[in-house]
Amino acid sequence: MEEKRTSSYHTEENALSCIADDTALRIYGKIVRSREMEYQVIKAVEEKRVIAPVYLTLGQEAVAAALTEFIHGEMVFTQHRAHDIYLSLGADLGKFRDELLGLESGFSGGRAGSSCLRYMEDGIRLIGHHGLIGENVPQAVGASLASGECVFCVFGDGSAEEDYVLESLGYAVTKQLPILFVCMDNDLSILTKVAERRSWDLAQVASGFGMESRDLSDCPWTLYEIFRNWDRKAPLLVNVRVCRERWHSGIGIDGEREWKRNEIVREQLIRKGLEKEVMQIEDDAREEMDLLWNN
Amino acid sequence: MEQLTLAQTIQEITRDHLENHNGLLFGQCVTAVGWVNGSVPDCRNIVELPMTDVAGAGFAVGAALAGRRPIFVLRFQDFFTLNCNQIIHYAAISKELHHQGVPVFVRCIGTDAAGPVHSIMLHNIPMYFPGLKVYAPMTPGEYRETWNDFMNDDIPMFVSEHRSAYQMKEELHDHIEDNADIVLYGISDARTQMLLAAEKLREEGLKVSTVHIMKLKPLDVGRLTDAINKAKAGIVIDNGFPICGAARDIAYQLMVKAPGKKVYALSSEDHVKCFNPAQQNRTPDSVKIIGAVRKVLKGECPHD
Repeated sequence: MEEKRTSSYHTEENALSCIADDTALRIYGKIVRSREMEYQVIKAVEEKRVIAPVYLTLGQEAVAAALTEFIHGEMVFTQHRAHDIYLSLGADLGKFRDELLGLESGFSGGRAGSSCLRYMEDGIRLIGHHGLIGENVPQAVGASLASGECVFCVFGDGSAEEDYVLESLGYAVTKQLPILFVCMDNDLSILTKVAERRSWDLAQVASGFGMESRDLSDCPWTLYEIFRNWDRKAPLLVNVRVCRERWHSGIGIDGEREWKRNEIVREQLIRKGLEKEVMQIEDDAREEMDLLWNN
Repeated sequence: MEQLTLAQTIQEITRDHLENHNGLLFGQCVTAVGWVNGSVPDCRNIVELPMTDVAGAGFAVGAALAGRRPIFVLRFQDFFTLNCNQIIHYAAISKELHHQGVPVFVRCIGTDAAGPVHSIMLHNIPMYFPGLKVYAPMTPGEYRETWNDFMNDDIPMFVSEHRSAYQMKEELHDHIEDNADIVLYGISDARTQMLLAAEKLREEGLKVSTVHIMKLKPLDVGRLTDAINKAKAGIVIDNGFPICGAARDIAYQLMVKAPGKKVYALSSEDHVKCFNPAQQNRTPDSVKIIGAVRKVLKGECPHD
């Protein structure tokens, strides 16, 4: 039986070669900036500047980096762990920082915090959840049905087990709604692994509903191609195997990641002769986030 | 021009919203037999939902986020126990949390004598949670006021309807007497029983005030206290269960605002509403209300 929790699961070995350098570097830039942002969040938590719970996206950010290449003003419904999507969409980072600091100048006046994102400015329509996992999935279906527009919906492997999520996937097929469902499958609900919780794969269930689906690990280049090829005429579900680097809530670490996607991506870009650009991106991101949080 | 019934009024309001204002209506089996007691029009922008009682509310919330101001129809109030998550945990809190409302008009339809689940009334549940308006209109005029309040705001509204009201045409008005022996406050279909009880009590020579409570939340306590300040005591009558119910909550609020006055609560009993006619545990009827009034006037608690 094929091992699914690997960095190469169902990925295309040469996917990067099909992507223009500027696109690949832009995606890497989002990965790096997301991570540098999270490092600053961790520091702020350690220093007790941020006291509300935080849901870090460290480890999964390659998916958001690729996905947001194809979001241009469409409604995006996210789960509790979505810092990476906020940043990768280009939403205001000062408002993000201030939200976590509990300031009135935050995107929701400091009331919503890390897990309840809502950003409806600058041509961005990002709608986070409020606390019930997977609640964003029926909302995405309703929004697409009501607007006739393409909608993006990101949720986790735990959400996939909610009855209303499965109902929603089925209805999206029934109505042939143009929704891209992305399941960030980190194999963990808090610390309970998927295999202990269910015997089925979400992608197979989606296929059973009649929805096109894919199941792969978080190679941004392969994902880029999948997202690019989606025709936006019917729903598509992509179950992406990712590694959660920190606790479900908080900044702690339980153990070593199964794979380090950011390092794999970095090595791939350097092998492609883009070392100088990679270094520049990293320096810029560090400086940007340091200035943002410590000035 | 012929006066419309409540059901016709709802149908007219709904048709205008769906045909002329880009509205949407979601519900299960709403275009089937009876079209929800004649309250749903045959027009465009109606979405027949699958039997997805939890996800269905999420579809409506998503539609509200997309700007369609949906009407979400629950043919029995007990369905709200399945559908409430998205309404109370998402739509209701959005305004305070993000300063961006998620306006969903939840038509939640109650009835009596329909068995242990379909008979329950639970407008007390949305009253408990922040961010929702909770109204229980019984007349055409009240429904128009309800709808206008919804359209002039951007927060979700829980509308507790009662099937017994759909053929009503007449408006219901407060009747407040100075130095009344008792003031009766009615909610939902308890209001018609309240009026019957008041009529009989007045025939006995008692001075009885009657006050109709349509807006359960926010509650206009100021309007309601005038009557209790002019009466010896009061009873709030509701069709829900008693514990943590609307009647008890409102009675408490009235007593806080009218120190020295006793206001009691009268509801259905804390028992299952069976199909068996003897155990249907219906809305307090006029006989029960009169009995409660007699106890109160003797200084006794009406529930003892």
